[in-house]
Formats: sequence, structure tokens, C-alpha cells
Amino acid sequence: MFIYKLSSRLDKLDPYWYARLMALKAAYLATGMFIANLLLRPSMPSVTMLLSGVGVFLAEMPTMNDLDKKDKIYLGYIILISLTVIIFSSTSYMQLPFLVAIAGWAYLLYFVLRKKPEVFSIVSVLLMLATISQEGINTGNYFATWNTVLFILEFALIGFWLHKMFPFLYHKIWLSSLVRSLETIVSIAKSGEKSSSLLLRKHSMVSKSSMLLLKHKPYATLASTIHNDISAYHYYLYNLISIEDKDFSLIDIADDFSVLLSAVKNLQICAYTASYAECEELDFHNIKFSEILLSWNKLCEHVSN
Amino acid sequence: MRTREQLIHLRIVHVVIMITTAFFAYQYSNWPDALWIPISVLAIIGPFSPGLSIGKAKQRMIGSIAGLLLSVIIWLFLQYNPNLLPIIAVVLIYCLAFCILQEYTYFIMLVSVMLCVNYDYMNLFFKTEITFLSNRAICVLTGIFICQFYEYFIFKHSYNNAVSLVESERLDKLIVTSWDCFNSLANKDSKISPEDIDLCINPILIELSRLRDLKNSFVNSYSKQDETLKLIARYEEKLNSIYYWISSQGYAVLNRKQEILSTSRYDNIHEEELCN
Repeated sequence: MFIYKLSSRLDKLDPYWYARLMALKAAYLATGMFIANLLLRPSMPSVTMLLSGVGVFLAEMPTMNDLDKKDKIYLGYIILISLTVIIFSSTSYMQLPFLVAIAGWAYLLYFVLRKKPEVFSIVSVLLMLATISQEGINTGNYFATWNTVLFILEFALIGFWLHKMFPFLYHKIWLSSLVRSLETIVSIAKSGEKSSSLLLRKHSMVSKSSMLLLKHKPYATLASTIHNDISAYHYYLYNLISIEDKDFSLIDIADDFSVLLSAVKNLQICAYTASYAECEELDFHNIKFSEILLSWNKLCEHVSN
Repeated sequence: MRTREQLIHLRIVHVVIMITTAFFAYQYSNWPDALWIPISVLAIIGPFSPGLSIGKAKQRMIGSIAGLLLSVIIWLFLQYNPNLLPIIAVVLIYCLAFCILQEYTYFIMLVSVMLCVNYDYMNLFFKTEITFLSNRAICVLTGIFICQFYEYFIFKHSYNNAVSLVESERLDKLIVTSWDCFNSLANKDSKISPEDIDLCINPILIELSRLRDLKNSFVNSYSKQDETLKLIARYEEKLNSIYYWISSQGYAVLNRKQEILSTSRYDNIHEEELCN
């Protein structure tokens, strides 16, 4: 009961499992790096672990929806943070040149990325982390700087290896988007509100985006089929709501999808036979719902393990 | 009126000025823990847009103070249970990573706790603990002050009615493209998949979300944005209506019930009519 309540509360804060995935990965990465710290004993442990670990957070942001893109972002981040740390720590003992170097480097980074303002926040993260590193390395000693940068690179390599060894949990994001879509379909069928249609599209876009992360998995095709069926169902449901003087009830749809929703939430096969409503308008529902149910039952075997 | 590119470039210059001022304060103030001044400024300017930075500054102030107070409790706890540091650290890192996508106040609260516990634990200066926390609080507030001072007194009028950020031309083009895309699907003889319709509808949703973010950034802004907000509202209405129209016709197109789409009615609509 407690776990269920906690899970539903977390669902409100983190509807698509992104935050939970990042949190699990962060805790796992921290444990791995603490062990590496025990063995390698870097000169500035907190700075080294922080600077190399943050790259994984950047790679796990929702906008990074491709496995190759994640690796490239991590590599790009490590190169840029190493450069930033070198610039900061090699000029920090000279007051005015330090200011000029920081202003110049900040301007250059922002200017290079001016066509993509959505990634500007990465620049401030880079500059902030390099500033935090000043708490440790601000002596102007090039050997100390070089030593720290080498440790950052060493820990970055460990961080990357840990990132690659992390169990595959991206299907949780796709499953969460499916759960949210089914919840919205149930809610639309119960309330008949067209405005919730926008919410359903939002879930569909997350589903589409997360499918890129599943592309190498054997169940990717099944996930894609369910996504397309839900998408088609959205247009059908929108059409149903628009019909005036209905001679059928949308509650049957809500009931059918509630059963499927419960099965998806519990990662169980849905052994349910939908009651076929004899109504021309509900023919599409009878066919599509059965198809979604069938695809889910096939997919369930893969994701429930 | 400044173009979008000019506004972005102007903002880059402003952001660099704020960063340089913060580092100037760090270099020349000789305050203990003055490094937190640039750290604060860099955290606040993270979202780049002036309005979002103002909102973030408020959240940072509350989060930092709460975090510094909370760090005293954790620090005291660690004084008596130093061996629990790795476990506390992993739990804190879990919570911190979870909060990255939540409200900034919680995130910065945990960052403050982490940084305090991290550096305090290494130094173990019990007697100077309160001084240490007050210094950090003063530096964080100084960083917030630097940002607010520039945003309110210096840069306030630079962004008045930044209508070019709405990107009217691109939005007009998008509306026409979505309309054409859906019309071509409706007139296609071959089978259409829901993915094809999604391709027409998803860019509209992305733009609606962008406009919502833009509106939020202007709500907190010190500059006057009446015209921009009106324009955003106009485009939101347009994009919403085209979205609902495509949604309402999607089922008919998928099932080839093209009689619902009276082509004679829609084929002769010109781009100007769509965009106005």
C-alpha cells in the first residue's frame, strides 16, 4: 500500500520516469566513483568526481533522446569542461587577465551556440562547474592543473564505462508515456472533454521521442505498433466526442481501457475480452482496442522481466 | 525594432557583463567564500532569458537559505556519525538528481546542502560553522543583487516589446505547411498511417509549447511586453484552432471518408487567409 501511494505520488512529480531514471543513475554513478576514489585517490576528489559525473546528467536530459547523441554530448562536455578548467585555473592568479579570459571564453561559447539558444544553459553549467573547481585549484600551478585535468579525464572514462554498464531502463520512460496516454483516454471517455486531447498528444510525443531509445531492442516494433494504434485512437476518440445525440455510451470505452491500464501498470498480460458493442460508431473501438490489447500482451513478456 | 538575432546577441553581451561583474566582485572583494558570488550569478542566468532569470533568482534565494539551514542539521548529524557520510552522500545525490527536473528551489536547496556538507566535512571547523554559512548566504545574496541590479536598472528597456522573439514569419509558414501537409494527406489515394498525420500536427504542438514558455518568461520580466503578449495570444489561438481542426478531421482521413473534407471548400484558401 505504501509503495503504491509512493509510486502514484512520484508519478505526479515525474510523469515520464525521467527524474527517477536520472536519480537511480546518479546514485549508481556516485557509488562507482566513490569506489574509484578509494582506489585512485585523485588530488581533488570532490571536484574530480563532480566534474566528470555531471556529463552523465546532461546526457540523460529528456531532450537527449538518442543513444548516440548521449555519447556525443558526454564526450563534448568532457572536452569543454577540461578546456574551461584549464583556462580558469591557469589565469586565476592574475586578477585582470582572469576577468578578460572568463569574459572572452563565456562570450565565445555563447556566440558559437547563438543559433541554438535552447542549449545556452549548458554554457552556464560549464562555467559554474569550472568556478566551483576554483575552490580547489586556483594556485596558478600548471602541473597541479594538468594533474587535475588528467584525473578528470580518468574519472570521465570510468563515468562513461559506468554509464554504459547501467541496466537498460529506457523502456520505463516509454511505458510511463503509455500509462499516461491510457489514463488520458479513460479520462476523456469519462468526461468527454476535448481539451484533454492536447494532453494526450503530449504523451504521444514523449512516447515517440522515447521510442528512439528502444530502437535496438527486439520489442521496438511492438512498441511502435502500440504507439501508432494509440495515435489513431486519439483521432477516433476526438471524432466520437464531437458527435451530437450519441446513441451509445463512452463509458464502455472507459471501462475497456481501465482494464488495460491496470494491466500495463502492473506489467501483466491482460486476459480480458472486451464486450463488443453493437453499434456502427463503436466498430473502430472494437477492432483497435483488441489490436492494442494483443500487442500489449506480446510486448508484456519482454518488458516485465 | 531589433531582430531575433540582434536580441540574442544583445543578451549574450549582457550575460557576459553580469558574469564579469560577479568575477570582479570575487577577485577584488577579498570576502571569504566570495566564489559563491559568480556561482550564484551563473546559476541564475542559466535559463538565459531575462524573465526566467528573475524568477530563478527568487527561487535561488529561498532554496539557498533553506539549504544552508538544512546543511547545519546534516553537518551536526555527520559530526556524530562520520561513517555514514557515503550513505548520506548517495541519498543526497539521488534526491538531487531527482530534483533536476523539478522546481529549481528544491534543486538548489539540495545543491547548497551537498556543497556545504562536502567542503565542511573536509575542513571540520566547528567553531566557524555559523560564520561559514553566513558568508555563503551573503555571497549568494550579493550574486542575486548583481543580477537584479543589472536586469532592473541597466537592461530593463533593452528588451521592451521583443516581438521578434515570437518569430511570426516562421509561425505563419508553419501554419501554411501544416495545412498543406494535411490537405495533401486528405487527397492522397494510398493508405495513410497515424504517423503521417502526426507529422502535420506535432510541429504545431512544439510551437505551442515554445510560445507558452516564452509567455512565462515575459510574465516575470521587468521590461514592457504588452505587444509581445498580445501577439503570442494571437498565435496561440491560431495554432490551437488548426490543431483542433486537424484532430477533428484526422479520423475521417485515416478511414478515407473524404466526403467530410469538402475539398472544394478548402482548396481555394490562400496563404494570406490562413495567416490572418
